[in-house]
Amino acid sequence: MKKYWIPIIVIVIIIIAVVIFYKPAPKEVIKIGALYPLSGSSAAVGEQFLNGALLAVDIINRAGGVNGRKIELVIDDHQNDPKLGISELQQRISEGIKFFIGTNSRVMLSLIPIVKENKVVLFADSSHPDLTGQTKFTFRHAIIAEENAKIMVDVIKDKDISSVGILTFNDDYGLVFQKALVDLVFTHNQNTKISKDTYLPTDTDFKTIITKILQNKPGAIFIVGQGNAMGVLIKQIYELRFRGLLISDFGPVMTPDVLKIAGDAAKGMYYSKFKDISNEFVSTYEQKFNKEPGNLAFLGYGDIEILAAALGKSGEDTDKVSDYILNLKTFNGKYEKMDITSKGDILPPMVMDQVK
Amino acid sequence: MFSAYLIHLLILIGIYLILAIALQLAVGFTGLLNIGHIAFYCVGAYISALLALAGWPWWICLILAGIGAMLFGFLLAVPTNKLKGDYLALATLGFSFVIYAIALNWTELTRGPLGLPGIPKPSLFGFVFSDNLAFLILTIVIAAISYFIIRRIVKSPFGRVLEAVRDDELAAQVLGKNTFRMKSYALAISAFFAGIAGSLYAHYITFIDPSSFTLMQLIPVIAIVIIGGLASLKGTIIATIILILLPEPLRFIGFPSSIVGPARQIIYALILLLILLYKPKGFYGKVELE
Repeated sequence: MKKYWIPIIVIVIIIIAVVIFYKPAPKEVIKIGALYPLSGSSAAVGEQFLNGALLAVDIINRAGGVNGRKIELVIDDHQNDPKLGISELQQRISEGIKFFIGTNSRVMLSLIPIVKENKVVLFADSSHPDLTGQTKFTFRHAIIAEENAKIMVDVIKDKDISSVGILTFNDDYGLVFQKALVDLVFTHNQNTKISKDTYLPTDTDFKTIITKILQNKPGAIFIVGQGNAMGVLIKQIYELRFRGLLISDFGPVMTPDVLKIAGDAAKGMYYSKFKDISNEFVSTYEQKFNKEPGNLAFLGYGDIEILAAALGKSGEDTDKVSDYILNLKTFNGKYEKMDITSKGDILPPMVMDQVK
Repeated sequence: MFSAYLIHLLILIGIYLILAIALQLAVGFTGLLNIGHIAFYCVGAYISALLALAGWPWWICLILAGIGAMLFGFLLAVPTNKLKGDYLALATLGFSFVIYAIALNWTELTRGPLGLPGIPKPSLFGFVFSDNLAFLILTIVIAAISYFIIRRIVKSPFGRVLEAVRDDELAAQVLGKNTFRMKSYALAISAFFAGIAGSLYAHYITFIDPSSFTLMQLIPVIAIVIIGGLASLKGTIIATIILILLPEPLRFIGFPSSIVGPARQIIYALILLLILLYKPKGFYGKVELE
């Protein structure tokens, strides 16, 4: 018996924790599974999406819910690990949940076979292009690189620029962006000289790659990324005396620290942002969470809004919900007007702005 | 429907068991603190995935994944021959970084951070293991074969020499044993099974990318080996089951959304700490980690 006392203690601890925290859900609630990275290096991204979704659930429930039924988010933290993501999805499906929202490409891609097999609806809000188009049950409400790259390249269209540099994150988001930017720049002018490189979120010294890019004397540099690394990158581009056009993706608004770190070096820089994000959304969010919303919260909000609308019209039949969303083409949410492609990509309208 | 979730957990236990007993052979039985184990797992996963996506039959992918990883095992054994303890750990850690960097940056082959999606499910003589129950049976069969081979190895005279190398390498050399060859074999066999586990993982998850094979992914495997007890295959099995299943009941606890992520991890870590505090040698450990 002595040998087994540690496993017994472990089991007792787990049972006590379950008894203390277990709360049975009220009946007649529509449950939506939320699969986000809430700890680890992607926690900030997961938190933004989750808070946006929680805000939407709150607003919809206060307005009477979906056909009189409240929505409840069942939250899981997949830590950006596909194995955990699959465990969580399988478990929630076994509990009867049929609608899911989540993010991060590598986990969402691993979930697609299960989504197909079980015919559950998944909003996989990540940049990987393979997330949609495999089944009608997956949707992607995210910054689509090809769409965002278009408005970035538009900035140089009426300017006499024959050489550009492209610096992107070395991840799926950055690489898809890089390809889209190269294609679009060539489409605009086949003779444009392009120099490109990648960097890592953990990098702090970019002078080698910047020097390499500057050798071609670019008139514009496109940068794609987020977080502290991007802020330092902008600063170092300026320190190496680049004074041409600096054009960024959504990074500076996704993580506002980018502009704080870059300081004066970011002045005049172009960057993309959501067109529809309004002061009303910001203040409602601040009231609930006592802090400024990250821009990804906007996408999490939209997911719940569009799902609630589909559930209201089609009931809980996943086939009907998917078909309803795919047939919408355009969805006018409270804050966001979304275009929905036949592949299931839900495009948030984006515009370019300039750092003053 | 609930069984799908259980089947998934059992498949993970099977894959982790192969990975952990392979590491146990190197760390527990031979005394090689190999932090590069995850690199062999990565090599196996990529070889199998790339060949399967190129249309090769699954069983060839599986065997070549093991053989490919084994060759890397031999490759690692040569420069690390004279290293021990912390130094060996550092050298093998460097090896895992090299493999990670190759997977990340050789984009023409591995697609880099975009990863390899759509890896086909295994098929054998026309039967496709697309159903998870079938995949579970396949995993159990491969895990059982791996277990019995490694058990046979450690119980054999060769296994006893490995333990002698672990306990006193100089004494083993004095008795005429070629310790370099023994350590190379141990590392290569360990790598072979890590490669097999990598192949199973790739075909089960159907998507791999370089971040599936970082040092973070090795930590649970090392935890299994240590908690199970060094040089104990029985302990490894029990620790694999406990460590894979332990986080699951925590999912049923309705933590507030603001602490859901860290709270589950804190409880998980606390339970592991408790186990190590009261069982420093692990459940059935025969030797201490030096």
